[in-house]
Amino acid sequence: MYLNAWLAWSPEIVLTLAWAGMLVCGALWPRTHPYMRHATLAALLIALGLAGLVAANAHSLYGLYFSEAAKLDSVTTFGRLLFGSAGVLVVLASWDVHGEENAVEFFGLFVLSLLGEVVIVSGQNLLMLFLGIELLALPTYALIAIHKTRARAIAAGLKYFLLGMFASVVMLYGMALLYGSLGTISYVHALFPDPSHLSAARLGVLQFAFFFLILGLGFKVTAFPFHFWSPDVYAGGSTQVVAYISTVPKVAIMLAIFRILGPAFSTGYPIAKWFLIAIAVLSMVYGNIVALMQDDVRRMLAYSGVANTGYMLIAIIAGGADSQAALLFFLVVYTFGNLGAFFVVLGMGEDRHITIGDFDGLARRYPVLALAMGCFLFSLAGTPPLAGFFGKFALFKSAVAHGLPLLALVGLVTTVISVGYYLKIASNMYGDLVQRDLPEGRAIERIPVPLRIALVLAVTATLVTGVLGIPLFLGAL
Amino acid sequence: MPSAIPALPFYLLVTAIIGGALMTIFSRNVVHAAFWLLEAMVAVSGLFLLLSAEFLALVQLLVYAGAVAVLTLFVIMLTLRRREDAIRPLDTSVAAAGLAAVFGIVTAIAVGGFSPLPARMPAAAPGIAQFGGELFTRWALPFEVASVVLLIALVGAVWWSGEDEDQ
Repeated sequence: MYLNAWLAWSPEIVLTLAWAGMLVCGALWPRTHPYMRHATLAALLIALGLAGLVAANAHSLYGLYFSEAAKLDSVTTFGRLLFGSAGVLVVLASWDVHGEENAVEFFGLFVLSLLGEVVIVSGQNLLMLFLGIELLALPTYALIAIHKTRARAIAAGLKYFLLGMFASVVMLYGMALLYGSLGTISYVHALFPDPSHLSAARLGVLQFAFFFLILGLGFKVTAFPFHFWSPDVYAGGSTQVVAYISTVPKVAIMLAIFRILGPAFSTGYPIAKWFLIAIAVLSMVYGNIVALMQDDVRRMLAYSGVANTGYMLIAIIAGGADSQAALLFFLVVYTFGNLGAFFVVLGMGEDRHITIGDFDGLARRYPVLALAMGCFLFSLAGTPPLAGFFGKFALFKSAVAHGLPLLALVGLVTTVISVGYYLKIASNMYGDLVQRDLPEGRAIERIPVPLRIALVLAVTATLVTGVLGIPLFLGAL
Repeated sequence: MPSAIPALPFYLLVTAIIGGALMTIFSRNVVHAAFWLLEAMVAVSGLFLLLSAEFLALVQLLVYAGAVAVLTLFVIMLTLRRREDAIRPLDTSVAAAGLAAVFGIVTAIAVGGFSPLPARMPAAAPGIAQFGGELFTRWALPFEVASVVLLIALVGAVWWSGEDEDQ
């Protein structure tokens, strides 16, 4: 049993040891700083390999560990592989930027943040969820303002830190109330019991606590009324870190919400269900409409992230195993599409705001970069041959299957709206192939090779998930 | 363990907490405000003691009264250059007051509307030894994760406040 536990959690142990080793080596021998990135990449690849090995021995290793505090199952493995791959991409994108200065802190904190996401996904009680969210968030508070001399970055970092702490405290309050009304914080079995077994008083406190919990979690996943920090932080922060915090943490917390609420949640709690529906609809409508009006690409992607949170919430409201499958697929699509789009922005230069005008004529000057950006944008928009289409299709289908056709309709209409702003960039990139005398966009310095590799990998992931989505789609017809 | 907590000490402590919180807001002198905050925190630890939660009372005293309040005073000491700077203007924000009022009313309605929860108080309050046993067996993993979280907070804070190497 003990040996099993060591094997089962070996990816996390490797990452923790790698972080500790980097911290000690970095402090003792400054000469090792340029090799931190290699160490991080190696640790992530080893962890990914180990996660694959663990998944291959699922029958003997899957189960509950540490007095039911953590669970190893297919969702945890999904999280490990997705976070690890996203982590590899972010490390590649940061390869040159943080190669020497701040290397120990940047890569070390980044590795621990990834570890926090595994804690969130594998955790089986609210305490683990809270600790995981803090483990994920504390490093990002520091990383987002890695360029300490830039006023914009410091403003973004402070805003993120203060509001993030506030959200954590509100969430903790909700968790305390949940514990008070239920007498347990474990969600090995569904945390929210069948409401018919509860007294009215207990049910009241439970729903009151639910609002606080969702308020705190909603902040972290940038759902509509709690999204207000994200455009400023995304526009001001370090782009690699923004690419990271806009995707992976959101994925982890979405998976955790699915675990907490359980498959049968939405049938038993009508008020809470309507609350979630309101958040989802408002996120989709508001996010997409406001994104249309943005000129700064990073702000636009922030609002697009708000809208995508709305789509993810559809699966959580619908509940059930098929919704979970749809959610998992959509999360992969979203992660690589969004990471890729931010990497392109990173490739265009980080020293100032990148506006939509900067993409003018990109296709003629940098055809490959434009093609990659087009691939990510059309995937995010959900255009048929690419992965995004299948992801959204699966989500809307699960909503219809669970008796929420109007929610699917809102999703469909807002998806059409979203094509507007994704296409705006695409038409700027490819516009001058049709019309000759358009203004020149921004000139780009040489894109470093590691970032190119990251872009190629992200494009590959988007295309491969698209191909994998085809049988899923055909099977549903 | 008594089924109900005695009324007189409870109301004394509650008055001390709410009074301390109000005085924190309304003191003109920030040093006085910090001391009122300290008073409220000590009173909260008394509330824990009344509920036979000795460990929480100790933690409350150590962490909040001991560390947080002293830290607040240190920050005041390091940021104020003249004694007169400690006097702050009382800017009353109607919006903030309104928000606080709305939150208070909603909470009062939400909590007050429920009939009292059937309390499931244990026959005997678990002691610190039992608490420690639970912490290091059943809750060992969260405990370890928490230690990493604290370490990160430390590393992050040191790094943030450190000198910039690239300058």
